[in-house]
Amino acid sequence: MEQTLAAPAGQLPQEAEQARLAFEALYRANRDEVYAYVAGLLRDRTAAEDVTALAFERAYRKRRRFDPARGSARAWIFGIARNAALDELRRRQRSARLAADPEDDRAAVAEDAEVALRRAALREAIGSLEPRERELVALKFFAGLANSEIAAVLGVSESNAGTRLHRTIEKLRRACDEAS
Amino acid sequence: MRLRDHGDEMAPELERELEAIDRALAGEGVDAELAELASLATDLRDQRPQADESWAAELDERAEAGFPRAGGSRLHDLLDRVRAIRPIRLIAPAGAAASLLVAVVVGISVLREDAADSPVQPAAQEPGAAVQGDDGGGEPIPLDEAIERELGEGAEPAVPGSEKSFSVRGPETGPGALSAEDAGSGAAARSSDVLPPPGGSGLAPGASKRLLDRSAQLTLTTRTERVGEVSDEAISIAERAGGIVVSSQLSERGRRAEATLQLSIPTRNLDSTLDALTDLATVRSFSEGAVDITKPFVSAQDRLKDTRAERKQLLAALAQAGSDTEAESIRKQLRDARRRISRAEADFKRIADRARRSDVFLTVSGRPDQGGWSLGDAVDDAGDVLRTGAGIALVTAAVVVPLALLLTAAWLVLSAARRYRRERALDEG
Repeated sequence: MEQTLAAPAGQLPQEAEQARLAFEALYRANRDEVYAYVAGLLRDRTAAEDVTALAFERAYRKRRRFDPARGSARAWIFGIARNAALDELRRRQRSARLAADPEDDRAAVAEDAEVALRRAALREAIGSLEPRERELVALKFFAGLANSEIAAVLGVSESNAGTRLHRTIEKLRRACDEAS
Repeated sequence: MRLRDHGDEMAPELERELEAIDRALAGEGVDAELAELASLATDLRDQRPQADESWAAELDERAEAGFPRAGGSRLHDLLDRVRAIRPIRLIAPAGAAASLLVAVVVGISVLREDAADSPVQPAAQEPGAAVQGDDGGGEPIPLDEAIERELGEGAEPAVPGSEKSFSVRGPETGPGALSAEDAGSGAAARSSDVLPPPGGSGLAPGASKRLLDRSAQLTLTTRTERVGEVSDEAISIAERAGGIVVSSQLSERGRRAEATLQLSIPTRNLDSTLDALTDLATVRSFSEGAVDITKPFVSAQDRLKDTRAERKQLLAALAQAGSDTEAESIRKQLRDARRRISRAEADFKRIADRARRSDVFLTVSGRPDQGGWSLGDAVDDAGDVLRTGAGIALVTAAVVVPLALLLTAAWLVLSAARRYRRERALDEG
């Protein structure tokens, strides 16, 4: 979403309303993705909810500082969320396991046993990842960011992000193969 | 945001697999050999944490309301707006504020200098600072007349209107036996008039014994073209007061001129002379000084008296000489005594002159004409304005630039430290 999130000084009411709607659209388009990323990184549902709310609140307060020339709005909001999550991580210095989602259990019942085993092995493999690797998984697969967006959030080159992501996937693949 | 690709490429196989993952996540088909990878990708996506619906609804409400603060106020909104300003946008306003502050300070300094240059009235002379009152005991006579009597010279005529007088007891006269050779020196005539009163210091009993060596420094300002005229008038005033010009100098540079004069004014006419000089032009500064020379004066007077008494005694002894040899010896002593008298008279005259005459150091400073404003004046004023503006800008830059550099460096260091600590959280997490 490449548009201004705040109306300029001396704004007309119409422009202010447009700016508000733009931010609201950004919020609604990324709320669940941001939560998924933060939860995947912190592995703590309660902390993820607090951090996600804090991230969007900070983004709202800083919306006038967003510069489209410096990157996409999506990368901008995920950058804010990342900083908030890392601050939480520093504060807690622990990694609690994510509470099981009821939907996951219902899905497990309906799944094929082999699929269920595979996914259980995958969950265990994700849990064994380093925090940086887990973050990559969360950005790519939970938040659905493109490689270029991941690179922008992490502050690395796109090739670097792709290489690190590939290594992480290979690690998961090996872990799953060993488990099976 | 940063570190975009600059030519570094991934291995083709790696790129192919990443592309397969993206296709799988998009629901598109992939090559058979990458089916396992695509399956892994979709399985990972299925592990995505789901947000609680009640929490999501609550957050939606807050977002729609603009994330109101608890007990929110306009102050918080204002703070948010301030925090939203990028630091680089503050440089220009900060520089403008600093420039304004420097301009105000410079303006105040200039106004203070102008106030210091405003006309100054000569400080009122302290009563009795240089005037000896007569407290009785003997008939007071003017100092000049007393000194002239002491030295045997005619008294200078007093300037009409002069009211100052000094109470100094004049020397008493007395008989003195003189030889022919002593009469030829002229000392006889003087000695008959200048013998000091016996047992006294030359001052009337009870009278104030203070004698002062006075001086004054006076600076006048006027238009440049009037500097010479004012100097000439000052010289005329001094001459009318019985004074002389010890030295004078006139210098001109560009549109400015300055004259410096050293005047020697009879002390009795000093105050009236200063009054007249201050009326010539605007007084920029005035100061006056006085050195008490009573002791040196009395000492010189006593020495003169003593040497003369010695000569008198020698003259009496000469009249009583019993032989030529004795007379020749006495004459030799008389010659020595005359030399000592000459020196004592010179010393006395020198110290007496310090009391009789006062030095006035006068400076007449010329400024360009403040009246009409010519094109040349406009050019000069424009140059002054530009120089002042450039000076203000330079001083402002000297203040703002180092401060901005320091603040920027501090901000960079703090930002880097914060980033480092966050990244470390991932390593330690």
